[in-house]
Amino acid sequence: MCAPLVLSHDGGMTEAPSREPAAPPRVLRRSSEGRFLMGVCAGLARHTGIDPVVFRVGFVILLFGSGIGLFLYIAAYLLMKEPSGRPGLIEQWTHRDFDADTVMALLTAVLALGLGINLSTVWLDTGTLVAGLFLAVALLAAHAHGVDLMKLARSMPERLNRRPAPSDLDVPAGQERVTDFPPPPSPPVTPQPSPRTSEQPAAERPAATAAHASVPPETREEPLRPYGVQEEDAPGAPGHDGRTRVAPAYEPAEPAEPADPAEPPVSPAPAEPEPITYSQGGYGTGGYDAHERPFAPHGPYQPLDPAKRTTWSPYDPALYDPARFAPPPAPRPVRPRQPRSFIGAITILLATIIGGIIVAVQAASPSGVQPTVVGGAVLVTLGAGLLIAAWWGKGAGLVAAGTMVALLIGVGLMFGGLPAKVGSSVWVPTTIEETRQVFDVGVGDGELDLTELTLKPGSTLEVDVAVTLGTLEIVVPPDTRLEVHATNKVGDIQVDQSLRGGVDVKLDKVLEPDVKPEGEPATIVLNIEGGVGDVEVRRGA
Amino acid sequence: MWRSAVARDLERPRRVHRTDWMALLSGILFIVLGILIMTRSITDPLVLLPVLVTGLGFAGLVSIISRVFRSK
Repeated sequence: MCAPLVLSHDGGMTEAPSREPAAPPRVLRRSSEGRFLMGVCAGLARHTGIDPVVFRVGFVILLFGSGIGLFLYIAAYLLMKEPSGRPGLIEQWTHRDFDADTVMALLTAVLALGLGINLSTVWLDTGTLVAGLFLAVALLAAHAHGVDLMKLARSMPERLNRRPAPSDLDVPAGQERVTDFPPPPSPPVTPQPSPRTSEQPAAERPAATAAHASVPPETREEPLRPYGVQEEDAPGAPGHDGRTRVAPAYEPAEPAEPADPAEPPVSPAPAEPEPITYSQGGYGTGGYDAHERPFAPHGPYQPLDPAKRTTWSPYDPALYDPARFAPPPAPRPVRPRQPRSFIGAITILLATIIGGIIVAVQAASPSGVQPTVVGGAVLVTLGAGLLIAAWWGKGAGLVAAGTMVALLIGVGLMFGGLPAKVGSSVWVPTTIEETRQVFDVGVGDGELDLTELTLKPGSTLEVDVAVTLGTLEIVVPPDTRLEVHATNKVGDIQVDQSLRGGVDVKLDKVLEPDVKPEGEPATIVLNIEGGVGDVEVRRGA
Repeated sequence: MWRSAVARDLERPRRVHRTDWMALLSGILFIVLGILIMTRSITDPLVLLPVLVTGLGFAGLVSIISRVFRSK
């Protein structure tokens, strides 16, 4: 692989600086910096600007959640370029060149394939949910970053058929390459002692070529340019067959012999640079100047223009320039600012009012406020508002509000069920009938005084008490036998002089009467279900 | 594609709003969940939270797909 060569003003042979594509496609390469295993997550993080821990956690969740993580990691390792920028393994095997979007799309396809396999084999399970969730998150993230998924999918055949740049592949010395791709992105310039040559036979060269060889070397002191591309890309130039023309920029070096043996060799004669003149023809007519360059009336020839390359394709996303080759895009219609919608505010206000009404009604009832009913009613109201917003838009805030309410209900269910009520409670039952309920404190402080009860001698009374969050104090008559079965998730349970605390506390205790009653003592069985807080059972006066 | 998009827009000039699939599906999800919670049909958070997440994810996916097709 040779870099383009030109003659310097001192007659020496130097290489022209390498060419870069007008819009070099972004590449996704593994990273050797900060890597754990193969540098996949570090490379993804470097490419997306997201912390690599996010990708590592994602791969681990996918690995243990569904097993797809392993295959996804392997696919990423195979698809991503090496940290040095060399092609990845699959690119080497298939002689293709994948840009970053292509690799990301292929990884998404692998994830979707894994989800499909999960769905077809076990239908719905944890792995399916995990894979589906990650797929949805990936698509949402891509969409949020402005990726046109449909356009990307349509361009996939073109992307998958992209050939690598010549500098990315190892070609044996002396072997010519048939190229149909743009020049490589800036390989390092190295001194090249071999003189330039052309693959064309000398007899077939046009007169301009012969003239070129006879031009004094000082006239070649110009901005360095890719020499071969000029020949290749010029319309009407010899050998301009569209795709199979060998790019002379990467031809192996040959001895610099003049095309015509009769021509004098180029001699390193130092002289003043001469202005470049375009001797014949014009652009589009196949004309060339004395230096074999196409006629360029508007300044120096720009070989970096993708449109002038024989490999240019309007469907190649890396080279596509809609400003030049596509019909002028219709001016993006300026969307009139949508009128402000009050659906979200009205719905939230309505949900608050409905929740408040339910709280007020239930607070007056003996059973107290039931947060389950309140939360459910608020959720239904928000859902109804969203149905209206579906036709008039601006429902994102309601989605967030409904999600928060549902999450709160879920958290409430997670911590020992939803509290039945909120606030302080004091119960002083005087009859047996009043004790036939669950004394549920819910959230707050509760006191149950059983000293006013009149119990028959030898009878047994069972009382159920519960608290979700807060303290509970139970006062029992001193002349009764007490049987306590108490549990508490977090906190203390104190029964008379016995104290037990911690997490998941359980206490079963039987206390004989402090004061001996007349006749057989009555028995009170206390079933206490505590949540977070303290529970105390003590004797009354 | 450009021409077809223009033609399609011209065919439907009276369209003044587009269905927000995310809002529609999320609304249905919230209504169903609210009813199930009020009737104590759902008392396990391990049922409620996955249904919520899956439902919202499905709604988002449908919304994305609809936007992709509209942008064609």
